[in-house]
Amino acid sequence: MMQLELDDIVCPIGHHFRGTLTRQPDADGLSSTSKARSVRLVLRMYTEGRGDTDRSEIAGLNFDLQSHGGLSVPFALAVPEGSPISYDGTLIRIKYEIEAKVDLKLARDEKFARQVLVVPEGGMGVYDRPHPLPRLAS
Amino acid sequence: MIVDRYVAHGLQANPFAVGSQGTGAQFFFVERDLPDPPLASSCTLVQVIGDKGAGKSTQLECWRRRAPGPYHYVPPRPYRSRWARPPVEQRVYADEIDRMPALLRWRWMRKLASKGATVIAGTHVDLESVAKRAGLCVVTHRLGPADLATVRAVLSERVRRAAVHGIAAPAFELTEAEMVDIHQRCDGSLRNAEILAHEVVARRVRAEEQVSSSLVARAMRS
Amino acid sequence: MSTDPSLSPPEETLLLEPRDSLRTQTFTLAFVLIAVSLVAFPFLGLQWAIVICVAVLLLFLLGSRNSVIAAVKWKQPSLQVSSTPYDLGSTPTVVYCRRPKRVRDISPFNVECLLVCEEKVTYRQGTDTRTDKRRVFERRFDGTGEGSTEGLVAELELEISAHMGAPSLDLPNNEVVWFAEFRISDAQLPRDEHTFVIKVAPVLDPAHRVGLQDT
Repeated sequence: MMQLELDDIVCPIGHHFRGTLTRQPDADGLSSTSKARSVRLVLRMYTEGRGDTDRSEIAGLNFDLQSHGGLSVPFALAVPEGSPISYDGTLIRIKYEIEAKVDLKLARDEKFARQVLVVPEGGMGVYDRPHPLPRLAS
Repeated sequence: MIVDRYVAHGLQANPFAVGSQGTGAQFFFVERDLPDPPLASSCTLVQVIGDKGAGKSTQLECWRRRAPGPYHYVPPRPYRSRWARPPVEQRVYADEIDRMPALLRWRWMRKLASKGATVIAGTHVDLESVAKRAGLCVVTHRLGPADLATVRAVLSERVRRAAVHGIAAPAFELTEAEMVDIHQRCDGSLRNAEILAHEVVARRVRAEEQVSSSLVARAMRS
Repeated sequence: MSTDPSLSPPEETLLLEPRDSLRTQTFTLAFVLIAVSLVAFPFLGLQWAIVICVAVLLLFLLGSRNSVIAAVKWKQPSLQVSSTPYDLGSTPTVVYCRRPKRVRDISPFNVECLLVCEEKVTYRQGTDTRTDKRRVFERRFDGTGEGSTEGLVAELELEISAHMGAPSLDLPNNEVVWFAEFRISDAQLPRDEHTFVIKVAPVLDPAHRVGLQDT
């Protein structure tokens, strides 16, 4: 029911993840209204590895839903300067995801998440995986 | 498509990451061939003695899952928290009881003995004489340094649990040489073995990647 | 980062003070001596408290003798770096400087710098908090310095790896720290070591980017 289309799953620091968020209506909006009230879209950073998890919302947007629960909107989530980059280290991994969470009345919220890649400023076209910068095969 | 180095090697994530979901970090236990503790109300202290990282807490947790009971942990800091009153029930679990102030520990053991309780405890120090004077029977298990077989079993099970299912990728395995090296460097501590294994997996995953992306190759040559 | 008012660094640069300087060690020692005295005196009496404090002091002097000897004749060193964090894959030039407390002749000398990127993690097991560190990049750079009106001065070109390590990171449980350990190898000069923390930004040096410019 929820679709998250991204123009690109890779974004450098200081730029935006852009795309379209779509949710199919689940009610006709006249004889019955959808339980879904709103959608929150967040860009989240979290760590994995030998350390306890650090997690933070880097950017977020809220969208109100119409009475039929449907939605189709373009969005732009900013990756602020100074944010961590996606990284595969020895003790630490830094990962990013974009999550769309639907606020449902009297029900467990519906969630949909997608892994994305945040690369250093100037790294577009150079990275296709988390830092460190991959070495070319000889 | 993002290249996830770990997925490309058949892993959901590093098997030795702390607290990660859906990987080998979930509780599991490799048997150390210790007999089960006596039943509740046996007026017995079962003490598991071992150094840091030997697996005392994991052993206690395994027994506690099979036969539940209240659990008491004695932290190192702040000192006043060591004076927290431990539970007195028919079956009690406690960890790091050597940190407990001697007076509190004596009183607690006396209460347990008068109630005829069974207490299963992890400790760095042998408390047999104190427990016997308090009126408890004592069963002692000493966890020595983890041998190669135990280290191999623990690490292999963690890797197995972290495997990605349903993809046509060769299963990730730690080599025997890596297992031996980890065992030699971990000083018999399972905790140290997991830290070392985390590094080994991370380095291997990065070192073995084949950068075949034509985009990257063209970009670097332009 | 901090600025030394006695020097005037060029614009867009900063003067760094070393981490874990002798001053910090001295404060730590004073704290330890006070704590030891407060604990030992009620239980062991004044005589034994004094003996223990003297033993701690001697151990400190033994462990830090190079620092103590150097501090007698030399001021604390500084490292001149860019005021903006360095890019991944960049090759910055830094300037190590140390002034003597009295004017003295200084012949050319060798300086060693170990540039390190270290990951540091914190995790809790039960209510224990543990920390692990690992160096994920280490590279040694050697240079030559000379005496000047500023004292010892040495310029070194470092290389911030783009293939190992990561940009500086400071989260509650996960950190990435870049630092440079400096040591001078000359019998007549101070033999202590100093560590300076530098910042690396999540920016890729132009040399590694797509569409390399003609040079």
